[in-house]
Amino acid sequence: MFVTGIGCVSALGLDLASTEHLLREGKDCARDVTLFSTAGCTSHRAGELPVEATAEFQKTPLTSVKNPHRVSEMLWHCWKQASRERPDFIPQAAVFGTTSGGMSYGEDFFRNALSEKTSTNFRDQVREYMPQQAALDLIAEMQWDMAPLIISNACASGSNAVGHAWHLIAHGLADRVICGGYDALSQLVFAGFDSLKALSATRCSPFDRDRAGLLLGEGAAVLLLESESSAKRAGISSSITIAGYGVAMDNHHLTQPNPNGWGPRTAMEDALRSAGRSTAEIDYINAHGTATPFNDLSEGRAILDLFPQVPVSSTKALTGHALGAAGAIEAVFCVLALRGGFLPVQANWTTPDPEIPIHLVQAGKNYPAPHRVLSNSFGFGGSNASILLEKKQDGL
Amino acid sequence: MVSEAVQILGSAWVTPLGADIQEVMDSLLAGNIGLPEELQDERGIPTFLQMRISQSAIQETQRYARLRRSSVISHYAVSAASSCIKNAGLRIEDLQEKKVGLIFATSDGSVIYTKRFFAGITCGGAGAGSPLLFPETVHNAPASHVAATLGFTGHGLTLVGDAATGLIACSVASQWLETNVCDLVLVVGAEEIDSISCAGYATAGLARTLPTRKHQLGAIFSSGAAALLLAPAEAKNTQLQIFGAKSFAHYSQGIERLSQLVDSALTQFTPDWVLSSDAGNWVGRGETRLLRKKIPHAHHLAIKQNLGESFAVASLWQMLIANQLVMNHTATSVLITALGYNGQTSVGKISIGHFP
Repeated sequence: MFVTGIGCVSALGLDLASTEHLLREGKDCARDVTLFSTAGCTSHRAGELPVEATAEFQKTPLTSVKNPHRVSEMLWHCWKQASRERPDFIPQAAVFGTTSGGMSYGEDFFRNALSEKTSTNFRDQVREYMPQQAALDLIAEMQWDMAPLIISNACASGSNAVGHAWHLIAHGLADRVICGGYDALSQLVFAGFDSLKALSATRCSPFDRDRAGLLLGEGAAVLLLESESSAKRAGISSSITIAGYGVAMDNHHLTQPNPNGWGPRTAMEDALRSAGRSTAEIDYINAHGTATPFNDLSEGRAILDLFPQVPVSSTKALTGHALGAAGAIEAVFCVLALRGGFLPVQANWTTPDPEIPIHLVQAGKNYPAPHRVLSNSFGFGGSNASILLEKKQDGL
Repeated sequence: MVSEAVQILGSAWVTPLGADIQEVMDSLLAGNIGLPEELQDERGIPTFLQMRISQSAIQETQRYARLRRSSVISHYAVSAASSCIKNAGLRIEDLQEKKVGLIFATSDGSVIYTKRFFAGITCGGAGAGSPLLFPETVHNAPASHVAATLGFTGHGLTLVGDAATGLIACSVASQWLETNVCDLVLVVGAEEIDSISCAGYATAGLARTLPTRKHQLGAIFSSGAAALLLAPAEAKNTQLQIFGAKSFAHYSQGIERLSQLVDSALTQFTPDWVLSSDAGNWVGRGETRLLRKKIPHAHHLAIKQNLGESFAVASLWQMLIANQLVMNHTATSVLITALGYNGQTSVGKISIGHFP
């Protein structure tokens, strides 16, 4: 099977060219939050979409949806990018990951309920608040005949969605699947992570000794997965494949991973096993790397156990943590890296952590073009997922 | 996509009519209805109705340290999941030798804590949110507690969506079993009701509101949970099959899509019972009209009018009830339909015997 189309919006940009450019540059694109008040929070920064996003989305809006939430517009925009790469793609299944859907509409609804306001927009707000609605809006706009599968496994959701799509095609249950993830910044979620003291007041510095927490982000990503026979019939060429998928449920704690790294290690081993690959065949790891003390230690230990010499970076230093969308966005980043023959650098890393002596990708250093990469996503509730992406020599 | 048939090895539920399977079945077939109680809106005015879940439903789960800060949705989920394993004649230790997957289905999720957390920051500012509440607001928190309680460490997904999601979860379980990802799959659903979610559904005229009026349409919502332990189908056992799912953008398209799914199912069998997702509002009435027109000679049962509207959980209740009807020979084959309020519809079947 092959990845025949991709689309992505994040703090790095609204198109693939801009995204790849900033990915290569290793530019931290977090900025002060403008979407809502962060007064009283420790952090005031996040990986918001570029300021021109709203205007850009208005150029080719969803036509069949009244008052779509930003997250619906993000997903629609990603689909348009992907469909330019792979025209006439009609999926047989749709799988998406999200944690909060149109949460800011829910916030508005609650505030209005408190103040007894009434509005004819309430029905639209309620509809667009639901986590599945962005996917439903896309399906309605394209008049596809299916129901989406919406996975909400916290921060692993996007990777779970890509993995589940891989599973469907690898086992002959579908020929063409659209998958991905979406999440938009919202005050409730921002305040939630702030209440846990999980947010950094400055920047996101994965695996740095002085890392002080994550920055939230937002965005969406779409990947079009297609069986080899379907791609050949359509005359599509591609060399990128999802080769494996691994999962594990870590029952240590609702919000903290087991510090011994069991969850990440098991998920990565499972991904390798499903692909029939060994640790020696991995060229790069896109880490979950949220820059929280707990995640980076747990994941770092697992990476050290299995891949002590493999270059690693967490692109959350550039985009912030887009929660349910992160796994899908980072899968797209891996596709760009495989296509372009580069490794995303580890930004915001200045002081090595002696407890995590992993090999981080450094700016200005030459690395061989990757052929096989792992992309990790780990979430609340002990959800762990790892995807293995591969550039095939004998692609289509 | 029509799923491969699977069998239900064990089942359990937490409902407004209780948690004992036979007692609830007897009560349901006798026409009993869960006890409605008033639910105040954000201004403190009694505005909605919900069906109560007895406090005894979560007596057993109070002993789990991991649930000490959890909202009731997690307690209901763990209660149903644990009872389901026992109902299947298994112990937790027996499961360690097998590849067991977990699929959790929910519609509104942990809405009580979500609202409470947001109320805190609405009143006190963004820095006033409680760190005790926030982690439990994530959709997969109940699934996480179930996994920890039962020792599951493999495949686990939380699926969100409307009332069709229970059926969709079972179709994913079928895929895992068919492709040997798992030997067994535990499908669990749980919901909790809050006035804010009632208010949301009320904007579309879906909720019964106070003061009650004669002939008023509208659903009474209910919290609760259900769990089904699924395994590959064996001949001569009751078997579950899902006839796919579709999405829709508006009500009339929903009726059309449901009709297509039902027609597809009817090419394969003729049900003698039909369990619809009609909860007593205008959407459900449309569903009932369609089903009575297509299948006039079957027994029709709308269990949500007895147990309340519990979205994804209710479709699992429908499957559990259908399974009981077939197991005790009241029914030969049961059609289960779900027409959700948020753009999804699905259809399933429970019967005895081998599917062609």
